[in-house]
Amino acid sequence: MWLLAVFVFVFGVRAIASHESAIAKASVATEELTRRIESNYRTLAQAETLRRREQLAWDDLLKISGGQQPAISVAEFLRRLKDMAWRRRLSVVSIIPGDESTPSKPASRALAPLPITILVRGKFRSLVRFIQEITRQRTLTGVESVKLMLSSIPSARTAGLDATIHVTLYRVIVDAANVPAN
Amino acid sequence: MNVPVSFDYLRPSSSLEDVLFSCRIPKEMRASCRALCCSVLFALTAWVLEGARLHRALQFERADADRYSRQLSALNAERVYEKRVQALTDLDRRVRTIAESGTLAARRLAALASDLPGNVWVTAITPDGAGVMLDGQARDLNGLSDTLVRLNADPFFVGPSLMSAQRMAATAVTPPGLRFTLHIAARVP
Repeated sequence: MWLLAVFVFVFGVRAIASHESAIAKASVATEELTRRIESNYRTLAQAETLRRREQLAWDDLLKISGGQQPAISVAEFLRRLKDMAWRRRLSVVSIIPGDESTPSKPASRALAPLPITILVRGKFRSLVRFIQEITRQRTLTGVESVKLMLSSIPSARTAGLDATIHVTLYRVIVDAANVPAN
Repeated sequence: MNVPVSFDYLRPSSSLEDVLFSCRIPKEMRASCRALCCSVLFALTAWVLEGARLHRALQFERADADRYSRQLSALNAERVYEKRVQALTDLDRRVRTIAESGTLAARRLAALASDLPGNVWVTAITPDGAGVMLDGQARDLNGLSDTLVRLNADPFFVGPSLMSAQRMAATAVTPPGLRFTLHIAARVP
């Protein structure tokens, strides 16, 4: 009987010990989970920053994305080119699409490039203003390189320089369905 | 003859121990029985209390694990969203760079022109992979030296280097001087 009593007592003590160990394990696991949850909350809180960045990017892209045909882009570009050259008293000698010029960086799938080489003749100051203005239009246009030389036509030497400007017209292709509602 | 008989059905009051020991437990075993009862009581109490504590701890752990797994799926969704926004902002950055390329080229040309001293003329500016080749004429070596110093100090350019300089005889339209070629690396903004 004494032995049975001792056995039951020991069983009780062992039960306490095993439960305590299980409780300690569960507490450690809970603490670890709580720590991870807290850290994840911080990451999830960045979603608002992401949404703001997305909105800003869309605001920019929607201004220039028309999804228009290449011919329409080129037509619009030529009209603007004529206006700019006329204002700056420059003479546009030649416009060669798809020349050796290639964009300096590979275009992404959302940007469809069309390289164009333009030869413009005029005074240095006007040429600089022209180069500055050429990218300020609705059709996204990038200046890849500019080559300046004394005019090849002797009679035009007093008029200034020949500028060979390699530009790239880009059509921005974005899926408007992805634009956030707000 | 019928005589009414009365019986006392009520038992005399007795303690629990008396009741328990009334089932003929020998006196010498009573102490061990008491110890056994205490042990059983202790074990049962410990079992119940510790079980309750463990149950509660496991409940907390399970609730946190559920919360964590829900959070993980939200986190995965946000990672996909982040990648999409990253691609979009990269495109936006690229578009901005393209849109500013004209201004940058114009600024470089203007800076180049303003760096030239009065007795130096540029005859050609030709872009190459790393910058531009500058062909020009100077009245003398001082002009060429000033040009190099000014270009070196210009924040738009890096390390101008002289490629060639050649004496030039006077012609009907140009005075005697030097024909030179410089290479200038463009600083990446």
